[in-house]
Order: sequence, then structure tokens, then C-alpha cells
Amino acid sequence: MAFQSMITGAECSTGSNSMSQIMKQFTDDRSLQKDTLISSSERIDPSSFRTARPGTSSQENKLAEDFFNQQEHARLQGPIAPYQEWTAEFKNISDHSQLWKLGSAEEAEMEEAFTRMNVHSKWNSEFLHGPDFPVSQITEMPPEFEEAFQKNFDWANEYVLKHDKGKNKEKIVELDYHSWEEQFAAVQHEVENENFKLDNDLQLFEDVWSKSNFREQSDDDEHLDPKVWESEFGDYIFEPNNPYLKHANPFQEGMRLMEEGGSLSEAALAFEAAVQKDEKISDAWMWLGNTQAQNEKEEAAIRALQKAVEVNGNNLTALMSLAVSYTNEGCDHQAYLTLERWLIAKYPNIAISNAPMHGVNTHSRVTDLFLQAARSAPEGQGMDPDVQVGLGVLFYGSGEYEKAVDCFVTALNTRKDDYLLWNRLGATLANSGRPEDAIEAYHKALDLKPTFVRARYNLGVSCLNIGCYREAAEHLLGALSMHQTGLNGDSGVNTSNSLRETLNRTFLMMERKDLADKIRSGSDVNQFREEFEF
Amino acid sequence: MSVKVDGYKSSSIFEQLKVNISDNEAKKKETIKKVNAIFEFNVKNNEGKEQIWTMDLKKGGTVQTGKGSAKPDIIINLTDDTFVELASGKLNGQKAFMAGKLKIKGNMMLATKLDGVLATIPKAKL
Repeated sequence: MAFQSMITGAECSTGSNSMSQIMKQFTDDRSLQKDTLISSSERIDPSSFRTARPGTSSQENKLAEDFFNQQEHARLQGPIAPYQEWTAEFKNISDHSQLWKLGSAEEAEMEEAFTRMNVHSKWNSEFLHGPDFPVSQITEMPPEFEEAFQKNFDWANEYVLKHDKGKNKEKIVELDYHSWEEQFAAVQHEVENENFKLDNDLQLFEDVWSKSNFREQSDDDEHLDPKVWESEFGDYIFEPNNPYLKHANPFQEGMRLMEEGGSLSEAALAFEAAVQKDEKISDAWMWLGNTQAQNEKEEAAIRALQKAVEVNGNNLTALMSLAVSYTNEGCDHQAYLTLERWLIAKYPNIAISNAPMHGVNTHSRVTDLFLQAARSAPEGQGMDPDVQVGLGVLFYGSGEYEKAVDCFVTALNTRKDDYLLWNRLGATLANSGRPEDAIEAYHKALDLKPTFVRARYNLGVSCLNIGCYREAAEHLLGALSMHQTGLNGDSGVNTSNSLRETLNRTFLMMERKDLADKIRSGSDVNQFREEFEF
Repeated sequence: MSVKVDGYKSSSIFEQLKVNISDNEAKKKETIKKVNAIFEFNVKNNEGKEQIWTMDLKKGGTVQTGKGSAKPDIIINLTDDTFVELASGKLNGQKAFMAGKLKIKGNMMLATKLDGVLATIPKAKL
């Protein structure tokens, strides 16, 4: 069918005839050749079996003429016509092939023109063995060249509006054969410096910005000593009068409390006692840190986790938790470096094959390492969910929330019961402007671990941000009530400012200054039970 | 007086800011001393409607809907979503400005002080 309609039938004279479409292309091409190669007297081809129409040899009409001619023939001669025409056209082209060749006279002329030009400019001989600048002895460039060079090649200079020409003229760069690269770098450096001065206003602007912006950690402060940073958090502060100090095995007791869903504050006390008895147990510090983080006491968590990593630099769980805590505190750069340490400890091969490149942004460097680790174990078979968590944290840090969500979801596929992951997914959703989805994820986390104070706090924050103040207050009160330990009734030395402050403001937003005053004075949260359910 | 305006996600953030600023008298004085400017926000929501909030961190330490009685030192035009991103802490003012998400009229340097004020909004934690 298709073939038939190609050459026969009523359509053969219309545009839908594919054969005539091809013909059209063919003749079009030829006419183009004619335009350029054939002189106007030769345009009407005697060997063509097409009749030349008088007065239509102008270029403008050529295309239309070709088309109509061909259509006409196609109609008159039926299916055979295109074939015949095609052969004719082909022959026609071969006839004219000599047009491509240059006559011997032309050839000679061209040759001559070429040499003439050569003689005139002498550029190549000058370049290769010119008397003025023998290659082996180029030590100086004339100032004009220098200036021309600056103008034409040194693009950076184009930005320097206050460019001091005189200065550059005097300073003839000695283009030494061996050290030209250094010199070029030097010149460029200078140019950059000038650029810098020009950008004074912008610089000032950025300065002011970074000074006023305490939360922002410069991403590329490679030379920043991590020790300086760590000391900002200081040493871990222990709870006085810790009853677990008298316990025979506080670490085991802490683990039991964690597994059985006991109070996080109680567990933290147990782990504190454990490290106070022997501060060389990295895992005890790690559990203390993890517990404090879940208990919404970030600073205490960071102090404990730093200690865990100090005691054992290969404590993978501690490194990952520390990276997360740094991210929460806005210490993005520290977080990336900690993730890098994690990767080096767990995937030394990947780390070794990627020698650290200087000048590359830390975030992209670490992300690249994690992506390689992720690729080394395809999804499903031995996929490392921790690599996905690390990637999630990295993408979260750079504000790529969609990717971060994907990573956490992938990790959750293998660790469905990881309440920490559910909370991380929730926080990412919340910060990407999806509080409703976030609330769902928080609820999953709380179903798995009802004592998870952080998830409850996050839930409160999401409620606050969508304007549900009463719910927010209830969640925050619930979280705060979990900080109370049975023994001393208050939340101890490692308090959570974020919880109390957020609750205080929630009450103010409800226009309940009376309640806010109560919470600020540190009253027992149980007295709010009359009014709120938690 | 509430600064709530329906149809804007930024609305609850302004409500929080209003509280956060006036919450603590000593802190308020400190903030005013540090910032010393009146910000006018022209927020455009997804429906294309515009709403003005004015944040006075020069004299009163207040947040209100609409224009304030005094002339603002800086007028910031932005979308509802951008404001939420700024408040959630991940998009900082500088990035937003560079990306053309903030249109600023007036003293540009003052915009640099915005991040500090917005940092009082609580954030979700991983």
C-alpha cells in the first residue's frame, strides 16, 4: 500500500507523494549548485529533458520552476516519470562534473596569487627564520606586541576599566622560552588584583553580609582549623548527682532503656555514667551523643560525638551522627568534612583513588565521593543505606531537597523501622516547604519511637509554621515533659533552649502571655495539662 | 493585633517574627540597635496578589500589615515561596539576591541584616 501510493494514484501529483518530495529535494540541491558554480548563460541546461521557459531563468523563479516542471512531468508520464527524470538529472550532474575542476590557466593563476600573497606578507618566513626574532633568542617582545597581546588575548583586562596603559607599556615582559608560563600567571595574577580593587563595592557588600550572617559557614574555608571549631562547643557537661554512677553496668542499662523505649533523658544519664567510669569507650560516647540528639539537645550531642570520634576515629555511626548534628547547627563545612572522614573510614579504596584536589569546593568533592560509593553497590544488592543517608545530608546542606528526599526514601526502603530516618525525611520535607508531608513522616517516626523528642519538636515546628498554634503547643509540651527525669523533676544542666523558646513563642502567638510567662519562669509543664492534651 | 493575611504562607512567619521581636524587651533593644532599619516587604503569592508587611526595627520593634507611618529604609519585593525559603534558613538572602529572587529598593546593605532576623524562626532538625 505504502509503496503504491508512493509512485501511483491520484496523490502522485500532490505534496504527499513521497517520491516527488525526494525529487524536489534533488532538484533544489542542483539549483543551488548552479547558482554558485554555473554562469547564468549555462543555467538552462540543454541536456535536461525539461523545457526551459522563456523569461523564467531568474534565480528567484528557479525553485518554483523546478518544482512545477517536475510535478508536471510526474503527472504526464505517470509512475515511470520520476525514475526517468532522476536518471536524467544524475547524468546531467556527471556531465557538469568538469565544472568542479580548475582550468590549467586558472590553476596557474591561483598558484601565483598564493605565492604573491606569501611574498607580500612573508609571515611564515618571518616566523620561522626571520632575522629579527630568531626563535632560540626571543627574550623580549616589542612593546607594541605586548600591548596588542594585552588587548587581544588578555580578556581579563577587558574588565579592568581603570586599566593603566602607561604602566603596562613600560613593563616589557621578558618572554623567556622556559618560564613563559610563570610569567603569564604573574601577569594574570596582577590583572586579577586590579579586578579585585574595582570590585570594591561588591566586596564591601559581601563583607558586611558575611559578618552579619553568623549562621552561614563559609563553604570553602579549607584552611580553617577543625580544632578551633570543635573547641567552640567545649567539653561535655555532666549532670551532677547522677544516680546511674552507682549502677553496676550503666552502659548496658542505657542500651536497655533505648531498646525498650524508655525515657531518653534517663538513657542519657546512664550513658553519662558509663563514660564517666571509663572515658575510653567510644561507643558509650556515641550512644550518649545519639541519645542527646534524639532528645533535642544538640550541643550536648555534638560534644559527646566529638569525644566519641576523638577516642575512635573510625566510629562510623558517631561520624555520621556528628555530621548530621553539625548540619543542624548550621556548621555545614564541618559536616562535609566529617562525612568525608566517614567515607574514608568505610570506603578507603574510593577515597584513595580520589586524591583530594585543592581549590575544589568541599561540598562537591565529598558529594562526588559518596556518589561513587553509591554506584559501587547498585540498589537492591548490598546497597549501603548509610551512603544514601550521607548523600541525603549533603543534598540537604546544599538545599537540594528533592534529591535529599530521594536519598532518605531509598535508605528507608532497606530500613523501614529506622525512626531517625523518618525524622530526617520529615525535616527535609518541612524545610522544602511541604509541612503536610513532613507531619506524616514525623508521625511514622513517633509511632516507631514514642519517646523521640526531636520528632515531636519538629512536629511542633511544622504545626507552628502552618499556623496551627494549639497543636504546636501540645506537641512541644509533650516533648518538654519527656525531659523530666523521675528523680529530680527538672530537665538538668543540658537543657534544650530550642524547646522552651519555641513553646514560649507559641503561647505568645496564641496571645496567651500568661502561659508564656509560666513557661519562661521554668514552671513544671504538668500544670499545663489542664488546658492541653499531651 | 494579628498580622495574619489569608492566602499567604509567609503570613505565619510574619506572625512569628512579630512575636520573636517583641518577646524579650532587652533582646528587642539589642536587635533594634543592631539592625536600625525599617523593612517593607512586598510579597506576591501564587495567585499573583500582593501584600505588604512592614517590619520596624528602628523605633517600635513591630511588625504590621501594610505600609508603616514612617518611610522604609529598604523595600524588598519577593514571592511568597521565596520568603518561606528564606525563613526556613536554607536559602540565604545573598543567594536569593544573586539569583534575582529579591528585588531591592533602597539601602541594599540592610538586606544583609535580614538573615539574622529570620534566624529566630525555628527550623526542623534532621
